[in-house]
Amino acid sequence: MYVLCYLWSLLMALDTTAQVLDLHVLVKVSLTGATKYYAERHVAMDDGNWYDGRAQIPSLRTAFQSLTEPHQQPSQVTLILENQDEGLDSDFSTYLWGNRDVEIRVGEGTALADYSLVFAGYVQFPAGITRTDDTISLTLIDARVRDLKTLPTATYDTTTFPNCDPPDVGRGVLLAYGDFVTASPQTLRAAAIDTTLNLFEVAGHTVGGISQVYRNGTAVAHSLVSTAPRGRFTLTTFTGSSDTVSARVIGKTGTGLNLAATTTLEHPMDILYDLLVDPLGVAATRIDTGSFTTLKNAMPTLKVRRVLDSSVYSDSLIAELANNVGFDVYVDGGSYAVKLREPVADTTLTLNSSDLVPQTFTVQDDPDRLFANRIVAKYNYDPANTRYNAIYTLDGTTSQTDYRLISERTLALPWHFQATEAQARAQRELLLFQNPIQVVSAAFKHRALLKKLTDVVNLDWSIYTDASLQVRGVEYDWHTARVRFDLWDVLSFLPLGRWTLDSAPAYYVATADQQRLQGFWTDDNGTLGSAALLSDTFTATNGTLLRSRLMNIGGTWDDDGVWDIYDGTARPTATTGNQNRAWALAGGTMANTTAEVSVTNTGGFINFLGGLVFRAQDRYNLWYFEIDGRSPLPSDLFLYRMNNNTVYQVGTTRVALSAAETHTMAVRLSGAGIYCDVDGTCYMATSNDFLSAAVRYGLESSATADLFEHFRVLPGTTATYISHWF
Amino acid sequence: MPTPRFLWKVSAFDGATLTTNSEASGLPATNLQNAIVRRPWRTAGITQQTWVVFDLGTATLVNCAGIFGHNLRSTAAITLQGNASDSWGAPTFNVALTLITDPDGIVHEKAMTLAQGTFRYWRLAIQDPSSVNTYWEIGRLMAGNAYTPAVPYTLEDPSRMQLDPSILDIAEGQQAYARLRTQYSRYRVRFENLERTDQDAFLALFRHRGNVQPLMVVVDPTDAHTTPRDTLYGRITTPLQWVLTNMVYGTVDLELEEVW
Repeated sequence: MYVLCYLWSLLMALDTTAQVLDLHVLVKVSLTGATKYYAERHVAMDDGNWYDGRAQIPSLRTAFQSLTEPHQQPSQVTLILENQDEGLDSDFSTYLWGNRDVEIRVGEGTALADYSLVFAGYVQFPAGITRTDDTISLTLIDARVRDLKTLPTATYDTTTFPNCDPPDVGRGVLLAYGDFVTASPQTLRAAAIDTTLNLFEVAGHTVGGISQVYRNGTAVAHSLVSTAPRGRFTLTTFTGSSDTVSARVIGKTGTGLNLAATTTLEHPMDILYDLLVDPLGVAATRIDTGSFTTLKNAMPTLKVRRVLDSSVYSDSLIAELANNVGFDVYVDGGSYAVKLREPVADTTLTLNSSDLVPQTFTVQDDPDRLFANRIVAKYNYDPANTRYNAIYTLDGTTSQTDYRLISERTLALPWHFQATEAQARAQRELLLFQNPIQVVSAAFKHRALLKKLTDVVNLDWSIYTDASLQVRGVEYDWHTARVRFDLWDVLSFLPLGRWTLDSAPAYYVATADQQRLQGFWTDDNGTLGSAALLSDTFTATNGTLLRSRLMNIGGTWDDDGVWDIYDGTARPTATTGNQNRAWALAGGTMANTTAEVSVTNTGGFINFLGGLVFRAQDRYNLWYFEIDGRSPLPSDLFLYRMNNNTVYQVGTTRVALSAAETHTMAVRLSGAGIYCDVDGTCYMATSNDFLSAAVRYGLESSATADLFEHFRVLPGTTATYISHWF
Repeated sequence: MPTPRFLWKVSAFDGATLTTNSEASGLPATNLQNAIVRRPWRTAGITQQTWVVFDLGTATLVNCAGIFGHNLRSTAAITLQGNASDSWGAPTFNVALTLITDPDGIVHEKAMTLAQGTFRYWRLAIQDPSSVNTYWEIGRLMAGNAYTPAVPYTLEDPSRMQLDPSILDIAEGQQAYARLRTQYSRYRVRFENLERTDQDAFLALFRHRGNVQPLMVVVDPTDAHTTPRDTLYGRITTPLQWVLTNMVYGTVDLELEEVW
């Protein structure tokens, strides 16, 4: 049985470190006039209810449709009740069961508080009940299905608007989110709701303003009647059934998710929250506002807009919003939750041979054929003319060359209207899919039972060594206490750069988990903590002045959502003061590896981090830092052997500061550029032997914290990965 | 050779009118009359003495009684009382059910007595001044006139098996995991040379209980009060089959499994 279900919050009551679980699956059916309780075996709970042990444990599955549709599939559960003794006959003849609420909980013991909701839904009606001689089978539908609606929910009719212009009768009452005035202005259709008064309405809700009205495409003066509760205005002249009136509008206003005062709803999280609460009627208690706030804080400046002028299924609408922005929508503990769709590392749980169920492990390359190395993004949707006003094409040339294939994906971005945000979204799409993504399917035992959709687990099995994989599908088999995951190896194909908060802790004060999770990060000035991860054992004792300015090490997103790539043609200029810089080259020449820094502080150190990415492997490479043009000190020399899994080399050095000074540092291949292979044969290096180089530096107040000595890269990195990075 | 007791005629107690001084909402004292052990009578709390009175309507013989699926600690005193009237100051019948603790300190979820009395009113009383529980519960009371075959089972044949039905899973690394299920006992006994009277009694028992309805079996009455390990609340899992010698004497094999 392969059924779908709700997701739940952490099953804290389950001791998944134990080899033996005494778990129960509890079912509560709320009938009119009675409540029925069932379990997979008899149990009396501390709420005073006895759960009749006649339920067969259903498999529970939840999954995202795919990475290109980051939206949880609606859930469905088939619940079978044993009825060999005909003990249910009376209940089924006495009560109506169709369309009645059902909850399923899982936990251990007899304290109901220790149980977690894993499914909330209702008995399908009609055709939701099947009886045999021995069983009664109930088809349960996810409660979210009840939330689905076609938007807009209201239409103009002559009952409410007896003088409505006939062409507008039957048309949907607009629902408009965002600013259609300030940037890339567009016009929205206005409905003539009273032709005797020349009264028009632009939306069925409070609007932020009406800047300009057009009659048959020509700007005309209007008299604003109200922006609340509905946006209305009048014209002096209007010919019914003939003229077409439109307007530029600031869309719906409200308090949204957590706005201090009523204002325009244009952040994706404010809009999603409003969509759920208002037109869809989802109780605020069923929304995990914490996850919404977290995601909003992760991209505070992002704005989107959309007008709903024709019938749109709310499920599709939310899926589009999620995919446009790049987050996942799912249900956690019966509540709507969101999570930014981003690569993360998480080493809190490493699954290995002691967890893996035999003969269940498979790895597939891109089973859903999501590979794409050309992204054609269409954005700035014009509702009046039903077309996109801008197209942005992005090619992954390396991927196209490597795979001898151009695979194009059209990315419709109806919520995006600004170029930078739409293009950043396209860049992320290309980065993620320009290599075939690996999908692992495997079943695990107890320790994995607490993991849920969107979580990350580490896998140490087969081709994976401590690899972080994201849970994109989960199927729980409570009968055997197994969980089967669909795990996506999204991490190893992305650069280290991540989109993160201004408020993210600096690297040197971050916890080990935060360091792993966040790698390096920037604020909107590009200030970052580190371009890589430190070792697990590192403890920073100083470095309060450590700051680095990331220019282009593989690119990063800062919180404006823009992915910055330095193309090697516009090297950053030196800046005085405690401004710290780093840059990398696309490859070829050593000349531009020089970093220059002028500092005004006295004392402390400049830490330099440098590295090279080589084309050749199984070779020894000797390279060094050249500081202020002088010959390298022994400590500045680096000799590495490249192995099959390593195509990069990094090193660190430092310069002590005694006054306001200027220093330069460059990465150089040794001598004329020599590298040696494993049998000792040495070669002259040419520019073609390395792909790219990078230099980064930061200031440090004392020598006690040598951060860069602990430099390393994320587990599971690959050549492809590193080539993006540098 | 011990002669077992089979208690299956419990309709007097199962049909009795009950009164109690404590019961939790949803888990009433009438659950004592229900065959499902895990559907217990649960008290509303802990009081000095909690009781349930059974009014059988007429004086009824009890020579075997047991409780199953309780959460009482070894410090508890549980008493079966019988009296001609619903008055419990000094009941005529007053027998303690001994709670047995195994070598690991775990209290068995069953206790029983083979004391005999004939009364209309019966009372089950619980006291435990040192209880740490927030409630007491008992899953099932079995009481009535037990059937005792005229001959004991054959000494060489009885067997007892302890089974763990936990659902086991082995990981790649040979680590064992399980979803816990309650262990139970399985008994196999043989009666040889049963006469027609006993054959009829077994047939009556099987017609009423079949392979579905549980009964109480005291496999070894000689030490049942002190080691109730050989007393079970269970069901017959085999067909009732006689091997008839000269169409008179019968040999019967029975398999019984505990029900929890």
